[in-house]
Amino acid sequence: MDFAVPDEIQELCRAIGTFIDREVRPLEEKHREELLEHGVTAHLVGVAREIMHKSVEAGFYALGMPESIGGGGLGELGMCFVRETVAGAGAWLSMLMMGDLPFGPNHMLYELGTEDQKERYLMPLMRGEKTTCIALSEPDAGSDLSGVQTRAERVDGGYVLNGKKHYITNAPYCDFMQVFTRSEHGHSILLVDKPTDGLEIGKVQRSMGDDHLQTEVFFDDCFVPEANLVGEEGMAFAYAARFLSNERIAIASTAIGVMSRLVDLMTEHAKSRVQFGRPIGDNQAIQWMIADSLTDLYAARSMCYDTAWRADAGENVMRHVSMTKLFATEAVGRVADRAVQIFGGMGYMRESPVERMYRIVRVMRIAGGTSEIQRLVIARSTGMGG
Amino acid sequence: MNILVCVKQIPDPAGPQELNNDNTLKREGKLILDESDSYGVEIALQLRDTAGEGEVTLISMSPGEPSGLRTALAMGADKAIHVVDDTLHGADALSTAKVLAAAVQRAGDYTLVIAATESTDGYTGTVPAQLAEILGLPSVTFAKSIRVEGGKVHVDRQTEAGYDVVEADVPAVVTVTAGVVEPRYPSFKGIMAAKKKPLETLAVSDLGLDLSSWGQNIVSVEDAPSRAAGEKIEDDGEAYLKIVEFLEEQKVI
Ligand SMILES: Cc1cc2nc3c(=O)[nH]c(=O)nc-3n(C[C@H](O)[C@H](O)[C@H](O)COP(=O)(O)OP(=O)(O)OC[C@H]3O[C@@H](n4cnc5c(N)ncnc54)[C@H](O)[C@@H]3O)c2cc1C
Ligand SMILES: Cc1cc2nc3c(=O)[nH]c(=O)nc-3n(C[C@H](O)[C@H](O)[C@H](O)COP(=O)(O)OP(=O)(O)OC[C@H]3O[C@@H](n4cnc5c(N)ncnc54)[C@H](O)[C@@H]3O)c2cc1C
Repeated sequence: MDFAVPDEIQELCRAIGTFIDREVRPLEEKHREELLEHGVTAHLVGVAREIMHKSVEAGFYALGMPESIGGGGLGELGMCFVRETVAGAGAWLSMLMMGDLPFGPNHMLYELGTEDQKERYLMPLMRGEKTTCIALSEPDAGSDLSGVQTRAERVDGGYVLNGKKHYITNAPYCDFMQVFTRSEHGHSILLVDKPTDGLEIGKVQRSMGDDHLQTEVFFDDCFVPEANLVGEEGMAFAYAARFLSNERIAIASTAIGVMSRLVDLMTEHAKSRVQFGRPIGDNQAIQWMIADSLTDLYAARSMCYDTAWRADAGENVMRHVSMTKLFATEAVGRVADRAVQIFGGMGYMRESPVERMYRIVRVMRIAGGTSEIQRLVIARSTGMGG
Repeated sequence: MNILVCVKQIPDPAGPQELNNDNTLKREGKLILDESDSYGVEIALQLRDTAGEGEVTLISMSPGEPSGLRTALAMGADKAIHVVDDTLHGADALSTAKVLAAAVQRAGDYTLVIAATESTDGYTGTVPAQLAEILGLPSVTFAKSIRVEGGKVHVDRQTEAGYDVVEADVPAVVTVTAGVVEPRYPSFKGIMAAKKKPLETLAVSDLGLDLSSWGQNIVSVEDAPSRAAGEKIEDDGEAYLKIVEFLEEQKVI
């Protein structure tokens, strides 16, 4: 196993770093100031589109999608390096340049989409002309998707949807939704255009992350043509399992990027902040926090590279992915907590980057399958029931 | 239209800079494309694409790997010539110009040689003019835009007051000012394609140059003197007058 970063990936990461410095950072500054001042970001959508379009133009969008449809053709390991670079740059908006789930194109549409679906949905996503969202969660169905109540009733020429989703990222801004429904033959995934009669986007559900990206979604006799069924009816669980594992590695490598940034920030602060006549980093209590954080970072990174490498080699990595997502997201939580501690009062203040990261990383243990659900997957992979 | 672009590969300015025992800059580790040269590369690519034909050839002299050249190839340049030779260690600006001139003469037909106004690390800003002299070509400096038409190159040449409109016969050596265009990013596709583009590595002997009588010795290097403490002016409402007076004394205004 050789995890040395290949030359071309190093070169790519350097180019992406320049892109972030030149295109994203100035927007990030403006966005942060607006957040600090008003608590809301009226222009986020415009800013997000601008970043996306520039990224498409520069060839940095959808790097993990196959080359045959205009993607970068990068494997999981390559994508880990890229995501670490992007997340580690300390400009939160730069995540939007990737076209990652849920916003951009995904392998489900590539592998299961009909030619017509590819043309209407996948390719516009590849070109950054459209964005999408993934609507699984409902008030009564979170970790347990078998509880999904949104019904897709078979009618002439398609389906009629009734039900409610919540916490759906990018629902208010996307051009179409990928909706997990309960249909006659089990659960099915349907593509719903926005706008469509009977589809309504609820109020923004404000969050700790302050991104204003999640809303409720209501379906009230919403007709969806048959041509918008993804794959086969009744297969939604299998598809979610197969294509969401992708998202879990993505979350893990993002956590690792953020962790490395946090470790840099806390180390710098520990060396420069003087109390009792010497840098606080001269105290063992502080040194240990940094040592533990470096260890967390190293462990998470090693797990992530190993998992990605196995995935690229074609292994079934279900368990590895869950272990990696579990460890990396818990680790980034620990590291963010230590970072706030080392920054002291400054770490708690809105203008400090550490405060923002502390809040933002919290969701990593919840979205994409909670830590408990990852443990459940890991344990079940041994054959244990329960 | 064939265009040659001189690009310097330099140690990453973001990293620590160290000197060798002979007081030359350490050029170990990964060298990157000098940002100053990315503007010339961009302009060359635009000129080639507007012309709809021709090639952009990069020329560089540096020790080590052609990592910076690869970046420019990934941006879209067609091929590269890399002069690498230990005997060039410590070469001064004139020697550099001689080497680049010899490489230019091997590169076939061309309309323009483009360079940056000055490099980021050495910044003598003298190599391009010397290069033009050796090649016997017109030298046009500080270009903010370049157009080739009717056997002539038309350049908007930046000045303190605005810009001059300059024209010269081609071929010519033109230096490009930093920041005048937005250099494109090397995309991943470009990076992969760059691996397959022709890259010729040459030694001094391939250029037929005689090296016996050149080179510089850097006798010593001193830290720049730290700035002397300035004068503090308390503002009693009329401090600006004192500042004006000071600036007049310095003949700045
Ligand atoms: C910022 C954000 C963005 C989101 N974006 C989207 C999106 O785009 N699309 C989408 O569909 N959803 C999205 N979600 C929803 C997210 O996927 C769910 O919140 C998540 O799956 C957990 O479901 P839940 O909130 O219903 O929690 P619950 O499932 O109610 O879990 C509550 C607690 O019980 C634990 N628990 C549940 N079952 C077990 C068990 N068997 N054993 C042990 N513990 C258990 C959980 O781990 C958790 O700690 C988003 C959520 C957030 C916060
Ligand atoms: C083995 C080796 C060791 C070297 N060691 C040193 C060293 O220790 N210190 C040092 O300063 N230099 C070193 N050089 C590089 C060389 O000496 C400088 O390029 C030269 O001194 C020109 O200086 P400058 O950067 O001031 O050029 P400037 O006149 O400021 O450059 C203007 C423009 O001319 C072009 N140009 C300049 N130099 C080159 C080049 N080498 N290749 C392609 N285009 C170029 C670029 O477009 C550049 O932007 C070394 C080179 C070699 C091969």
